[in-house]
Amino acid sequence: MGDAAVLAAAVAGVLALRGVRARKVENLAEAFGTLERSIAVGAPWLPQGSTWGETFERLKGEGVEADWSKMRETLKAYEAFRFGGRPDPVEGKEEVAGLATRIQRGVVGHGPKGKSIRAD
Amino acid sequence: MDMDLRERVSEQISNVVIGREKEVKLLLVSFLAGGHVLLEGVPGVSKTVLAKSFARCMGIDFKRIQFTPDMLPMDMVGGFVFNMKDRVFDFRKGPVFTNILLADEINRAPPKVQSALLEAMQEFQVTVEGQTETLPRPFMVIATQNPQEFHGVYPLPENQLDRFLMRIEMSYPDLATESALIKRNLGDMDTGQIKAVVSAAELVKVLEDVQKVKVSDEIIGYLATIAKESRAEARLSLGASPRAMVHMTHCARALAFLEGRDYVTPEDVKQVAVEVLGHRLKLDQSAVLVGKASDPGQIVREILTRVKPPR
Repeated sequence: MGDAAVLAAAVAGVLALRGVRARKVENLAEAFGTLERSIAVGAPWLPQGSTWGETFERLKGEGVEADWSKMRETLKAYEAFRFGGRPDPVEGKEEVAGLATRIQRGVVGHGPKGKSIRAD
Repeated sequence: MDMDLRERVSEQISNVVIGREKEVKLLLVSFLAGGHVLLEGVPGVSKTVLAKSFARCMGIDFKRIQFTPDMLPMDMVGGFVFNMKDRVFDFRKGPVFTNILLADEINRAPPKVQSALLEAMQEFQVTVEGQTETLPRPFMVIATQNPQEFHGVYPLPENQLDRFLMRIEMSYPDLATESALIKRNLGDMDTGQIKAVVSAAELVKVLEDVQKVKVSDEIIGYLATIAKESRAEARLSLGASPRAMVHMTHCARALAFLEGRDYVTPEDVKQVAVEVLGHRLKLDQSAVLVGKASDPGQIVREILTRVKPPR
């Protein structure tokens, strides 16, 4: 009886994680849009006035795993598109979307003062 | 250019002044943005040496005026002197006719002198006995003042403070920097060893390139929202003026250029906000009395954490 309950809980957990599996994104703008929504759910304690650079620093400081030097490079390319009128780059979109998924799944890092980066 | 220029200037200045990388960067930003700077700090924190070193690095004409309470406007702008030979009055230019003017202890100058400086800073010209003389360009005033002085000083009025692109606070160095500074300056603190790192032609090109840095509509919207928030802030009786926001845009542009970009990001805006806005905002006295406000710079920081930047 007890084993069945544990199994049912494990299955429910896997299904819940599958519900927030990495979304396929077309470009970097879409990937950052996804990240924006994930942060609103998974790390709502981040100050509203944070730039992407500051957000990355905070997430890194909180132990969120990512290739942060690559994320920095991707951000540079994204900002060149966003504010400098360059073409929308495609490189790095998977990493950004992957980070969004990890934040939304709540399986990485911890927020300040014990607040977990975890979706309710 | 760009990052390289910053490195060259920092390297030269570090021969004399240690641990002032941030101040050097902000001075350079102000220079490239075509504005004037107020260096504020207690005596002995290298304000004057930093200003002198910076001017030497830029390789352009530099003059210094030590402001005193008995100073007259003509001591700064110059005046007409009778030419015995030709029997006419010739205009003799004062020290304000330079590229970088170090106005040391500006708050010691009486209001008439400050007012003459105001015209020079805002309009890049001076008027003597109805005759207007144009100042050389670039023209930058680096003024210093000690915020702890109360006797024999004439505090700068709000309209004059607003003319300064930035106020850079120079605090005491940390322990390691101070130790290094003492060690380094056991000999003479000689700004004469500083070399010019930029040629006149290069400087013209740099100033032109800064003007080409793109400021997107979203960044402009972000700046306008910051201004609006400052005006709605209950702890302030005076928020950011439209001129302040124009100045902030110029500074963000210059910083973007120094970072090697031809577009401004929200990060650029945030990096210059405290120095551009801090001295222009006026605290509400009732908020000061009840201990809710003491530092306009802190209020700027709080506004920046509230206003969502374009992302």
